[in-house]
Amino acid sequence: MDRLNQLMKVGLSGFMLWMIFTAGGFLAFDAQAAPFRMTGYDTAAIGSANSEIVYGSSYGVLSTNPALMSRYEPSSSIEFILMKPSLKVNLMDRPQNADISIMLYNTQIDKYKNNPDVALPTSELRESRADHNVDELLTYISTGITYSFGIKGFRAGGFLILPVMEQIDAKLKYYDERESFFSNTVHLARFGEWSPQITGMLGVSYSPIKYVSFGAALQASAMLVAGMDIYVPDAQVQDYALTNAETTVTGKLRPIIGVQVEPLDWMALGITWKWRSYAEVDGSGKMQLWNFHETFEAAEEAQTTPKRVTIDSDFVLDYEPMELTGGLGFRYAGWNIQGAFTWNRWVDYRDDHAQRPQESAVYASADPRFDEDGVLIYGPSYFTGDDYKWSDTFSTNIGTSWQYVDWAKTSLGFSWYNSPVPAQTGRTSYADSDTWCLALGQRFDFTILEQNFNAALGFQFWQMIQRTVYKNAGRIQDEFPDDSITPIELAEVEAAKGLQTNNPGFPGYTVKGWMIVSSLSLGFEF
Amino acid sequence: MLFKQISIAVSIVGLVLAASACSKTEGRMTDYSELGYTECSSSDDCLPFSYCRMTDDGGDSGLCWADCRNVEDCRAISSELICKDFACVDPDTLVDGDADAEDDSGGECVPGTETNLSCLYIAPEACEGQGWVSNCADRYCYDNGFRYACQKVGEGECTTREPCEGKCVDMCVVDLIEGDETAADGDDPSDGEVAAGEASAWTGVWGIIFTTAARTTGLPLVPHQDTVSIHHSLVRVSQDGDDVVFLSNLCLLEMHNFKDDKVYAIGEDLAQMVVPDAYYQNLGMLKHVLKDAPALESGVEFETERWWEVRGAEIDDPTCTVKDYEQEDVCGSDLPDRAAFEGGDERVWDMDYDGFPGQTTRMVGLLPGDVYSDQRWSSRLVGTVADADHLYGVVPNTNRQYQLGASDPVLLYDTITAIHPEQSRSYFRLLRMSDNATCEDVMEQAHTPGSWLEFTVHVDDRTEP
Repeated sequence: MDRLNQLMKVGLSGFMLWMIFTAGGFLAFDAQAAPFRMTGYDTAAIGSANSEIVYGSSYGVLSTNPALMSRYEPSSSIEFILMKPSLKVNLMDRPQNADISIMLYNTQIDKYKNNPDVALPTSELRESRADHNVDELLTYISTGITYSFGIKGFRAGGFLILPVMEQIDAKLKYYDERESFFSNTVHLARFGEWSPQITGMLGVSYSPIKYVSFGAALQASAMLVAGMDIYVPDAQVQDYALTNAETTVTGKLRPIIGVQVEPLDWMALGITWKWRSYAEVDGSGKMQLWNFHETFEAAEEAQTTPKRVTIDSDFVLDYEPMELTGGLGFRYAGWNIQGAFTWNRWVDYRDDHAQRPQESAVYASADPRFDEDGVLIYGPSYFTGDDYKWSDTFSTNIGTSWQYVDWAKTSLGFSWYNSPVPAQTGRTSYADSDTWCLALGQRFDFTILEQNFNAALGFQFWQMIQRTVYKNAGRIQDEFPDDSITPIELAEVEAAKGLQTNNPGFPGYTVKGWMIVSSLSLGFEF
Repeated sequence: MLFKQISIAVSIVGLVLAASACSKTEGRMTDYSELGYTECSSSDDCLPFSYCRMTDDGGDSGLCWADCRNVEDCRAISSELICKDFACVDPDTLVDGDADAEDDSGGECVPGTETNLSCLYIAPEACEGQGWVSNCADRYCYDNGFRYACQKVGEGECTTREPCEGKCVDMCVVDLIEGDETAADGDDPSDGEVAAGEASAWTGVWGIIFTTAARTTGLPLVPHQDTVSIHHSLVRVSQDGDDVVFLSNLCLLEMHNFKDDKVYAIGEDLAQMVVPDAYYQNLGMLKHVLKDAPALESGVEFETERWWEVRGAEIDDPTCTVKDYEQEDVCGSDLPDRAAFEGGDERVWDMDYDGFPGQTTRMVGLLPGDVYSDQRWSSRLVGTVADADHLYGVVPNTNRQYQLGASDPVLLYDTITAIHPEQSRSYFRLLRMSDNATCEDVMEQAHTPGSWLEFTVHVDDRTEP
């Protein structure tokens, strides 16, 4: 019977590991699904506010500190995770004349050549400017395993998280006036507005001696290369074109390295390093038009040369910063308590359109202004984007648990994440604020047919601190320049005077809200 | 034990509530008065392309703004609204804006009274040398009604290329009898040939919409470009014996690209040609003669003689014989093309007085810039009487045009322009107006939804008054 059980365990664990590796190979999964970076990847992590840096008990430690896999019995589990955000970005009322008049169409378009993103009249935007609410329920199913293969101190582990509703849904955003062409609102940048994606991770750990354990894990990020060739037979017919799309997926790995040192039975240290991660998409494409040629001046010699246009677009999905975490933990008489500080390197952040915030904040002005001495007072070099560069942050996670009987354990956790986003007083509106989390977890162990099982519940309440931002009008692009003139009469247009912009964040906004995360798991110990 | 647990729970809830109450504020609230908007108390402060939008607080000041460029912009808001002075308004709320010239001399209008309206005076023989009607200079005054005429006040020979300074004078009445086109010189306007008969019923002042649809090949990007030129004119219909003469003074000329039944607003298409004011304000008037005018009764059909016009060049004989499909056949004089112009052909002249050869049109959109061209075209009116106040029909026309130059060589193409094969796209509709009607009245009708002078794609779209 024991031998049969042993064979079943080996077979089951081998099958699960194979499943996870196979999924990693064929689904080209993106390991970045951002909410889990903060909430934790399984019920145990959720119930302790993702604080398992020093002590851990399930596969969620692959993300927080993979060295901890060697510190608990091999096991596997299946989980159901639910997230319900209620986050709001409330936009302030705008002055009427901040809108762009339809007279824009009757002005010389070449006036705006310094600004390639020529605005639309406000009345012709696809969407009206409106508050933004994030309240869509997110649900995930997760499964993972840790196994020793009979090697003392060794563990191999992995997990896979699948969104229940949508597998992959990447919604890209601009964080300045360019978003007016699309949703025409202000979006959350770091917390709350996540794209459902398939998530997974693989790792190993080894503890050669009692006092120390080493671990390493790999997050596999998918890099999607998408190209599109377009032929437009008739430029007057904008809703018809011949298109060919080409997409390829290549893997991109993010290493995670962890060390746990346990010099005393009641005290331990943990350190984890994670490289930054994002999925980069090359969306360039070629376009050809009917009877469209290079001008003779552009060619080396006077000849008829077809003009083919290449449109370059780069996207970055689900950016996560490089992190370095150090933690300290204690345990005694069924209690353990641990806390950690994490340095998050956000200064390298790139948004959905592969731009750094300090780059997006600066725009090429079509309306430079000079003082009486001819010195530029408003224009392309009026200000740099340094004020809008994201800053590195320190976040903290604290957790405690109490094993008050053999079959039950309660956990409590707290975490705090500073916002890396500076005051958004300029062109950009990366809506974000400091967030904190309070977590509660409960685990029950039980035995069926001499096999050890456990069931666990995890709960988190997240709060985003209310943050109100007023814009500095001098740093908002005037999309209908004051000196715009009509092409025929060469006359100025009074409706262009002053600041006109479709920037949805102008003249300001308030961001706030909360999120509830709950999870349920059923585990099995080998 | 229970008390301890309750204390912990209460502490946690208190911590949560306290943290929830935190907030922070960054930046300074915008002072809207610092944003540089143009304040106004009336629309005069916002001219020429905006109106004064009053603030919501009911005060007597506002900010300059423009809702619309044309009635189509307002229809996006409501089909009931029209565009009036760059504001979308309910036409029912408008005070009668009839700008008909009023007799402001206490009922005693003195013919020849000088007004403060300026014009360019061209001598009758110079007008005729260009192929125009002999009183061609009056066009500068006719925008305000056919009771005005241009009178020379400056010195010089007063040629087409070097016109003299002139002033519009009020003749008090509209001359509806042909025979003396130089009434401004003081001759008796009633010495023309007058005859009783059917012709007299036609006389009066009318407004006209007059479209010519053309198809241009040889352009980049598109197999061909369809364009409709929409003319709105004030027309004096006068009598010359049994004949009727339609003299059209152009109020506004717009060009629009179209594809099938979709007509693009300016700026809506990738590239579009627009017509500067100077282009159409210096054109000659069209003169269509209807020989032996029939009775002006519903259903009666009529056809005028062809009128030839040359733009941007001066040639001895502008007329041609016309073969099938309205194609020029044998012409009295050739029209200078680019090669001739570059070879120094002096017949090309700066007709719109903008310093560039020929007539200047402006491209907007993908390929912005100016194009200089000359043109010979002809037209005739082939119509039907809807009733005594409404006429409609088609406009068979010939067209030849040469690009002489451009502000950017990219804009120079050897294009071929021909009339659009669908004849119903080149049409006219005439609406009888008061004798003192002005171009402003014509344009008000043009912008009134459902009006006889409103643009439709085909003539058949509106044949019932």
